[in-house]
Amino acid sequence: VSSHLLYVAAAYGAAGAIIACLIAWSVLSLRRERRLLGELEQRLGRGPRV
Amino acid sequence: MPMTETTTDTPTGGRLSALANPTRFLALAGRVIPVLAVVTALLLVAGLWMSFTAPADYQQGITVRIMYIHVPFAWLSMMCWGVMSISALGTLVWRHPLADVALKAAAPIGVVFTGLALATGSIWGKPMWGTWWVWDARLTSVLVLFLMYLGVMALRAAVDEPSRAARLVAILTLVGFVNVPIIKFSVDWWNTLHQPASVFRVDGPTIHPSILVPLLICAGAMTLLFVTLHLVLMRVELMRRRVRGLRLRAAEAVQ
Repeated sequence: VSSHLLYVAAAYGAAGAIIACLIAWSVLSLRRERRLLGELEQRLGRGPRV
Repeated sequence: MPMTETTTDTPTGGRLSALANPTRFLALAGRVIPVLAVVTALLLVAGLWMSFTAPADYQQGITVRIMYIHVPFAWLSMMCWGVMSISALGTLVWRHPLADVALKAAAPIGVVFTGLALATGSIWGKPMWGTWWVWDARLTSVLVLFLMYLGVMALRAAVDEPSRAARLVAILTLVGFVNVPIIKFSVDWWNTLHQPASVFRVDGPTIHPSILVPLLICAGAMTLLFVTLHLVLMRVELMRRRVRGLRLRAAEAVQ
């Protein structure tokens, strides 16, 4: 394996891992806020639209 | 804070005011995001496949493949600050209800893309330049952009009152926009190790089509990824604000 291939693998690996984390964080945040909003709206009714 | 609707006489103004309604925006984004996610995934797969099947560069060899992700990250790091600057104007001048939401949602994406532009550029620089880092104008100005993204996020976190935080962040964003043309033209204004522009030039791109086409496909895919993530995080922020509003209402009801 050439050293240049290792540099390419490192760049794509780092980018892929960090982008995957960003996507996961975004999706999990959306699910968490949707669940929280659903619970509160069920308990209190629909609040003011912000 | 109750949402205020603006009315205009023009069809364009009507469409804009319709989008200014967070409830309508949430519904529209909910329909658009799945479609965008599928198109983004398909374009990413196509871009990655093309980037690994494109011929190696006659000088850089296979290391040129790093350019297919480094260049889009670098473009998007500037574009993201541009989006934040327009949002800042929306906050300060037009007082658009979604402007601050858009600004806040773009910052974490911008910091990741800028960090990845720096990291992938550094990984490319080691075999090509023989060093991970040089303090030349392009690299330093992008590092300043990265720090400004962190600064904007830190400022918002440091101010308790949301509307005051929104104004301060908008001002800082507009001040920071001065760095974007500095990044773009740094390779022309100063003698840098970083190569000059080779795609967006008055006399056309200087890159061979066998490398340019995969690069543009990857850039398109990353741009769609940015748009999709931005819409997702705008939804998150809108829901977070509604949750905060409901909690405040619940607390007032208890008192």
